[in-house]
Amino acid sequence: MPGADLETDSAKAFSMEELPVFMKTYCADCHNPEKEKGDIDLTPIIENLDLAGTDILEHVFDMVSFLEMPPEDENQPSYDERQQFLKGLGSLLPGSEIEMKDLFAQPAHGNYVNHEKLFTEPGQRKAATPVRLWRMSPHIFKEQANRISRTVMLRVQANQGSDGLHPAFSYMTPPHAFRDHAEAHSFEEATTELLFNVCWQISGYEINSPKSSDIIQGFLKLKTPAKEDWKKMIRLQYSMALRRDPTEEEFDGLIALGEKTRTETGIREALQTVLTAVLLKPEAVYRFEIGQGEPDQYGRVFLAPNEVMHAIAFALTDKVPDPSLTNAMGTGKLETRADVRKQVERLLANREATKERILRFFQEYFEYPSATEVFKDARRPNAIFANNRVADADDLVLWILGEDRDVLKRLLTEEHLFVSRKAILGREPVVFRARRDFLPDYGFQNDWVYNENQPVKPTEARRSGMLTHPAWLLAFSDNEKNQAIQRGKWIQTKLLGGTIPETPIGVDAKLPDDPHLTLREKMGKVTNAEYCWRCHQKMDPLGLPLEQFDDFGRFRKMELDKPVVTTGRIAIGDPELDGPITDSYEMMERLANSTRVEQVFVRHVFRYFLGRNETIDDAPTLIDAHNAYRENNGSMKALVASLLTSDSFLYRQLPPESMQASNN
Amino acid sequence: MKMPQLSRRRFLNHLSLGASAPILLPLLNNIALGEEGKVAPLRFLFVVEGNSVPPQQVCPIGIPFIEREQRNGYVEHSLDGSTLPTALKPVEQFRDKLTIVQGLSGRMCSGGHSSDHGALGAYHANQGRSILAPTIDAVLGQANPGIFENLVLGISSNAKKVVDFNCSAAARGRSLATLLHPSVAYERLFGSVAEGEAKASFQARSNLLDYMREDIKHARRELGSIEKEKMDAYLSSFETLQSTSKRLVEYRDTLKEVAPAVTDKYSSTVETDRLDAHFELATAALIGGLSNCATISSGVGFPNFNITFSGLGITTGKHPMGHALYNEENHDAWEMSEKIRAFHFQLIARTMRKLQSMPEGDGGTMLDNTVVVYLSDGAETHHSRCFEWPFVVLGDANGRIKSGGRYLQYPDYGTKGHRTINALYNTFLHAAKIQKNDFGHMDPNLDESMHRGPLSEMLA
Repeated sequence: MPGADLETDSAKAFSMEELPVFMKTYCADCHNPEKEKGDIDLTPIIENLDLAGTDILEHVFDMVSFLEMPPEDENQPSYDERQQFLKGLGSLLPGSEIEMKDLFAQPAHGNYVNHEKLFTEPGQRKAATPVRLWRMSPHIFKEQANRISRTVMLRVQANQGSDGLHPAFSYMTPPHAFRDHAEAHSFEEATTELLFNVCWQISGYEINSPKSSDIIQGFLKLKTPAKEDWKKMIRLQYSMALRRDPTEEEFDGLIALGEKTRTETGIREALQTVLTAVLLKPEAVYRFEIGQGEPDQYGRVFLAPNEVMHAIAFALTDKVPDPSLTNAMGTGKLETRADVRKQVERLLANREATKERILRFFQEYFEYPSATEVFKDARRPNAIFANNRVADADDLVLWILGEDRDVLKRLLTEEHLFVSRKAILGREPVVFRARRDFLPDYGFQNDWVYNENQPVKPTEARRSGMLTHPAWLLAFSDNEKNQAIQRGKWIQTKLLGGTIPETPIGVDAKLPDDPHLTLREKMGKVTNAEYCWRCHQKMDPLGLPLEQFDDFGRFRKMELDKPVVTTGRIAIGDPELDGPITDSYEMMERLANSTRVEQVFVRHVFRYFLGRNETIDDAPTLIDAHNAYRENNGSMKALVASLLTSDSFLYRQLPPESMQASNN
Repeated sequence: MKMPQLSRRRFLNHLSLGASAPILLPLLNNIALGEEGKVAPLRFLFVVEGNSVPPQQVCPIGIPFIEREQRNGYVEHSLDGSTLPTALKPVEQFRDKLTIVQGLSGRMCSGGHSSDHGALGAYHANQGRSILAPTIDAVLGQANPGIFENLVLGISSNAKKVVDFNCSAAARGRSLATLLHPSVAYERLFGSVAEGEAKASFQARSNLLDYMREDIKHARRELGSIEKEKMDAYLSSFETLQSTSKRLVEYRDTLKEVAPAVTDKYSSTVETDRLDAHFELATAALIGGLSNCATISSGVGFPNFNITFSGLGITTGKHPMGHALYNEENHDAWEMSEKIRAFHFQLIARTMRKLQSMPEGDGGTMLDNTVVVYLSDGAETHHSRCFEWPFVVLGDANGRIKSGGRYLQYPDYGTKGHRTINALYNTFLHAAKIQKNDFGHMDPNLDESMHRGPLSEMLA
């Protein structure tokens, strides 16, 4: 079963001489000149490591670190052996600081952590997030920029391709991972320059726009502002950007900057310079989560009240803390877990305030919004209304969240769906096309009488949750066909918690063009080859049952004049799940009732709200969150509340060096 | 035909330097180089067009086009007597500097709609997830930096997008920003030449950069070892901005001379206007010594390559066009793609003419020390597998690249004598006097020698 243990401290001292020994023991039986499995012969490298090119060493590193090698049915190295080998091999690679622990912290690598250990109560409960600076998300920045500039300078313009997110805060996260990952983002040259420019622009609006405040306009009329005048401006900007008062030292530094600039240029530029300086402060662009107080026996400290306030606000909304949160912080009511629970539950009860953040979790988890990015030839008549399909999927999620019972199970089995009012009740000739080409994708005949009372059950074919929704199926398709392999990969990684290595370089991954073959038949001709099947067995049997639907999500019984084959298999090493599958409905039912799938879902919710991957130390947090979800009949609110009151959320782990310093 | 050149005396007068001119402007340095017997830096302009370039579209009429599978050995033709294909017609006047390279493979990039950073990196960038190493433009730019090591400009099907990370990389894991709006790029390169209010603003921003450097240092001290890398990166970014800003102010008078006139096309959302403006900016940047390596990414990456070249009267996006390229009954897509390619070469030709009009060294021009490299982001076809990757190279690197107008055709994938794109990039490194023979990652299905070293057929 996939997943490594990350307690690296137990690894023994490493000796470079052990590298060839490891490869001889665990690799050479297959990767020798006779067998040359996967066209790889490692014997020359085992004999002389200096002969190895970087490419092959990286390949070996990936295979061993991601537990793809040795194969499951072969003799396995111990955890320590594997760790030592990787440490040694890693030191030979470019960017040699790579360590397994770092690797598993990277976005899209969370599943490599051992699943069973994550749901086993440890001897000691010591969960905590490392002290960190978490770059503001572009969504938070959008709100901040618009609020401080008093204008809608960043806005969503869906029809013009704008999501309102500023490129200074670009998401650099790889596909299929939650975007706002704390490890993935920092400001480097290009983004800092963009940040500098946009902050200059914000303060420009503060000073020059018609909506500029009277206080600022009053300041600009002064010929020689006094220290107190400057302080007023600086205090104002601190309160808007940082929600705290400046220190005397900060006042002095900024006033000196303002006065120097005023003398050289003028009062307008001087004020803009000072206001921008506040917006560029590290704590204005990074969320500081450092904690305060004396560390406990594990080196953990509780978040400072100001940090707790922001952590709660930004976990559940894209906005700065609301007055209740600010008030709680100011009156010392954000210092215990009970205080935090009170605020978290209050916010969760406010559906409107938290809707956007929580819906975004499901959008990023299921990935259905990418339906709008799938290219379809105009000759496909139903290549229409991609945005409506996504909006319908949003509505389904929000409806299930509104009821807040068995959330995951229903998202995997729900037979109802929403049908876009906009598409069906619009104007001719749009409605004609919608009826002819769009409704059948949802399972309705084209003369269906639009039902305002949504959601509705399709009249033609049964649905079973999000994975049979036209938006999801479209998102996992290409111009001409289903992406059965990608669909299977989604199920393997997002529901079963499994792992799939990247496509090896040099593999000519192309399906035959023969128009007389179904996708299943084409895949059978390519991916069944022994070398390919090692990975494809984890994807193809999970994705192919969804061949029940075409690449727009339309239900079908026949494909190329042959009955559609919908069989598959689950093989993850869990008796509750494993075994053959007759069709997608059976597969979704089995997945929806699985404890493991529920746990994997909890792991993903953790990643989204904590902004990082789980580690073995987070086991108590995951166990509690899963229990909260179950005990509250599959409530998303209960699950999120549990995570946001956990040690993982509230404690910060000090780095080892600062622990040593505090011990001295 | 040779373009008329300004005499060096006339050229210097043309600069109209006053008594307050800053010392040793980069532009003047280049002119002085010849007198001092030094060699000017080798400049590069990479033009990467999104999606594919079908190999037939760069094969001149009169030179037989051989399908990849039938290429048994290395073949070389002179361009003499041939007619350049539609796409390359605009560079007719530079045919003596033209080298068309067919048959290099790049399977290590994996293929698909786009190779992302792989096209210039010769590795599998995995949709930008794996920036494995610096790209060739970055290596060349870093070896010969101007005020900026590199300049990456581009257009995208998403006209609202200001910046993308899609084409070039400065180092492992560090993509270089592609500036997509010419107005933003102009501000970055030539903001210091502004007058009046804008000049005051530039000064104020300089003060701010000084302040931020100290402020971040202070925060970094307080944080100690916590998130040191993030704080160091933030600090060093401000330091770079600060030093760049200072240098831009120092070179203000030179920049004034070379800055293009800002016209409507700098704020236009029409893709041809933007591309046109980007070429102007890149040309000015090369001439002004702002950078010695510019890259223009014309719709690189998926799905942003799907640009509709409305400025050329085309109403089909490049994605559907790519699907229809080989439609035997309807050649519209093929013709449209040739038209788009020809537009790129028109802009390349304009840049070359401008460089040719700039004296450099002893009697030469800037064009003598400039190499233009045109390639596609996605190799040979719409859903590519990178078995062959056509390249068009213009310029002889001051005699270091064989010239005279040549068509080089390498043997089929895996066949004896076959070479990969790595070897071409090694060739550019050698031309720039960087003796490196192992650029990029290797295709494990090919012999190592096919990747290593330069293309001896290209180097003089």
